[in-house]
Amino acid sequence: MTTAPLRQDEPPVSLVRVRAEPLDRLSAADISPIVRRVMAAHLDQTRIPAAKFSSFI
Amino acid sequence: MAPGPARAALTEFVLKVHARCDLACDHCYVYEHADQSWRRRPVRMTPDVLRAAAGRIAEHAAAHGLPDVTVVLHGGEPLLLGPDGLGQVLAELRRVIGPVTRLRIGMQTNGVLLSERFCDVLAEHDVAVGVSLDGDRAANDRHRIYRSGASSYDQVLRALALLRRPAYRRLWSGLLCTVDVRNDPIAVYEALLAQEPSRIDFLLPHATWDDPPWRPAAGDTAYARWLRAVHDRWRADGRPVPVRLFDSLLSTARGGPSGTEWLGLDPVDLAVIETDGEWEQADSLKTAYDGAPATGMTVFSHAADDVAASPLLARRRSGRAGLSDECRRCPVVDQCGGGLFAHRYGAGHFDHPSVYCADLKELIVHVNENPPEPVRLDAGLPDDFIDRLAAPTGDRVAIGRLVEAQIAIVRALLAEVADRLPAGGAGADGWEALTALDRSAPESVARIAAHPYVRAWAVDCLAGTGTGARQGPGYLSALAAAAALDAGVPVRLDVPVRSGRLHLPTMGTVLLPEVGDGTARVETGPGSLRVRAGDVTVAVSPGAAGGPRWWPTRRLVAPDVSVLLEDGDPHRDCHRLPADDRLDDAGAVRWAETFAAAWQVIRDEVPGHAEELRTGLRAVVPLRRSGDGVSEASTARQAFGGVAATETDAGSLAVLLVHEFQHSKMNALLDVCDLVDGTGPIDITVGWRPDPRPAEAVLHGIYAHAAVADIWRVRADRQVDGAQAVYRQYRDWTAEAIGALQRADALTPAGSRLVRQVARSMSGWPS
Repeated sequence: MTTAPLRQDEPPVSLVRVRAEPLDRLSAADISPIVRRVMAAHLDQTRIPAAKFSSFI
Repeated sequence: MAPGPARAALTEFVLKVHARCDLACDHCYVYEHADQSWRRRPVRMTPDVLRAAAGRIAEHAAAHGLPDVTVVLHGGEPLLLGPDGLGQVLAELRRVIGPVTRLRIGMQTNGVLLSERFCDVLAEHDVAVGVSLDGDRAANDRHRIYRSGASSYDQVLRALALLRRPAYRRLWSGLLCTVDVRNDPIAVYEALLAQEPSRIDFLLPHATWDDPPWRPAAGDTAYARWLRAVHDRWRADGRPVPVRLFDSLLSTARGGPSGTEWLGLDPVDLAVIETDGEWEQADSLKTAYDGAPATGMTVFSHAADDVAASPLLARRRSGRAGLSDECRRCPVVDQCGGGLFAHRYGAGHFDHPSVYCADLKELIVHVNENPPEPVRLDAGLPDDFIDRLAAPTGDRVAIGRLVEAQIAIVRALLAEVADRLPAGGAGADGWEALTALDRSAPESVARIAAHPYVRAWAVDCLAGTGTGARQGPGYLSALAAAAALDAGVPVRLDVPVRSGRLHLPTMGTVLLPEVGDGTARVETGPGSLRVRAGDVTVAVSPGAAGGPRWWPTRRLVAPDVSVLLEDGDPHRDCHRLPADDRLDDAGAVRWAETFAAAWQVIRDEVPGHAEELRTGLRAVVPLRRSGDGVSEASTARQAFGGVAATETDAGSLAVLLVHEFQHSKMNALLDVCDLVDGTGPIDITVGWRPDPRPAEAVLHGIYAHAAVADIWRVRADRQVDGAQAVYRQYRDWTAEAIGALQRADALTPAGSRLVRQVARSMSGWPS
């Protein structure tokens, strides 16, 4: 789901709607931007590579 | 050219534990490039070489007081050691180096031999496993083949499926992909992403000016074009997985570390030990000329300090001074760093830009001009929301809005976890039950979703870092069971058990030591909880006192507030400080008494903050006091409403609850509102720490310290001994940081508004 390209011209996702809508009626369009934002912030904070050695990830 | 520091420490050691490989990749720099030293080396590292190597590393760590070192097992192919041989190597490394420093071990493998047996050995010794994969089948088979010409693709995918198992997931550090511009970049990216790695890196094929990389036409920056395509897709995807190359460029663009030897100006602090015990420089130099990595030293004759002092290693620590004139004049040198040292070689020396110079420059400019686009969320917040959150008196209504936004965020994360569940896999029944409860008992689901450590679990789960006692997607069943128990609704679910504990968030923990890691059947009903695992049945009434099989989550209660004393949730370790295990009754009573007294202090001194805490504080996590007895407290980015703290007195607890909850509020605000301009400078000097801080951290500090200053202002006003000095210190720190942050021009309009409001509030305080 998170690999679908994000369109910047789309209106922002409403958290109020995500809060109110039943869980099983939430669509990818509802949740993907939220997940992207949260995970991007998380990954920014935890961007600690295992090593500098380029031949090891 | 100025030499680098002569006695800098090495912190990474690459051990060539096996010098042969079971694949015959034609782009391999170990066998197919200029240096052919592998032909004269022993096939595998012998025990005496290993012992000496480990001894040298330990000796070096001790001499330099290194808090940690990394050892990477490399080859050739390290799995050719076999599970027993690999286990012996790992045990020896842990035995010799472990007592001296924190030892991080990694291993890069082609994966084709990986088995459960290997994984068990790697798990026993906590080894991070990187796997090489060049993309989809067509891309991978272009180079990564057996001597017979047969594909290795299926074997590698089988290895990755093994590493995705919950028991081994924590071991997998990521995928390493060597770029071939003849492959379709998006197909490669999608194929890598489909394997759900925790990290990806793209490597340029090793080449020099003498032996340049293949290009479709001379001067064509095909590598930049290829990487730009991947970058743009990754960015559009919302950066779903860390990509070391792009993350490094984003980091260095803001003055941060590169995190990799092939970019940036960070000093290179690694050395290689070959199977015969020879010290070598980075093995990528094998691409330059025969003998290029050699140092003429061995682990028997020379210490790591001797290697670190060798001229070539010293040069690689000398930053900009070690680069060619052309590089030093380049506007993107801080990010490029001249590229990988080996790629600069030509005509007998390294005083060149990288043979990929044009590609790197084009890529760096492109990445800089296209920073990650922030995703906009509409939290339904009023225009004056920022002002209300900045009010020194606190604003219960504003916190209520943040709580609602947090619940929406957790609901989205839960839906994403569920979306990634394999059909019929662990957690599928839990998700079905949770969605049914969301309709029949939405308040119970909301109470569970509002628990700080539910979000911490979901993020871990989505990041692929849920390990050990932490839970995988199957934990959805635990959430559903907890919500059903809260609602008194009957459900029957298989719930995961980790390390003999079945945890129901906010409710408590059922102890099932005989299960270890597995599942147990949970049945809830009105006022009842029944758990069965094999012959064991545990029946408890929620609210009942704890017993040998049931640890209910206890509460800290004061007249108008009740929060969880969270000493059981497996995800409370997101605070990255050692959490106390289950408190005994006496410990829990002490916490309850201290909390009640602290609450009175907060209500008395800063009643507005009491209102906020009453609305947003959900859980207090007791921390273990460290050996030196220092008091510690923490909030976590992913755990709104959770505060972790060591046991302390009531007055101190009052201050730290207010202080830490300010951080929690800021984290929640950052979830829905961009406050810091990501392109701004990151290093700002502040009074409360010796090291320069990034803008977001300074903003956090301002917000938290302003609240602390406010408490001490009240205490000073009441003539409390020493309060005046503490008040002035926090006030001055905050005011100075506000000035520094404003001068740095690192805030968005919303961030500026928040800081202005804080400053305005403080302007009326006494000097």
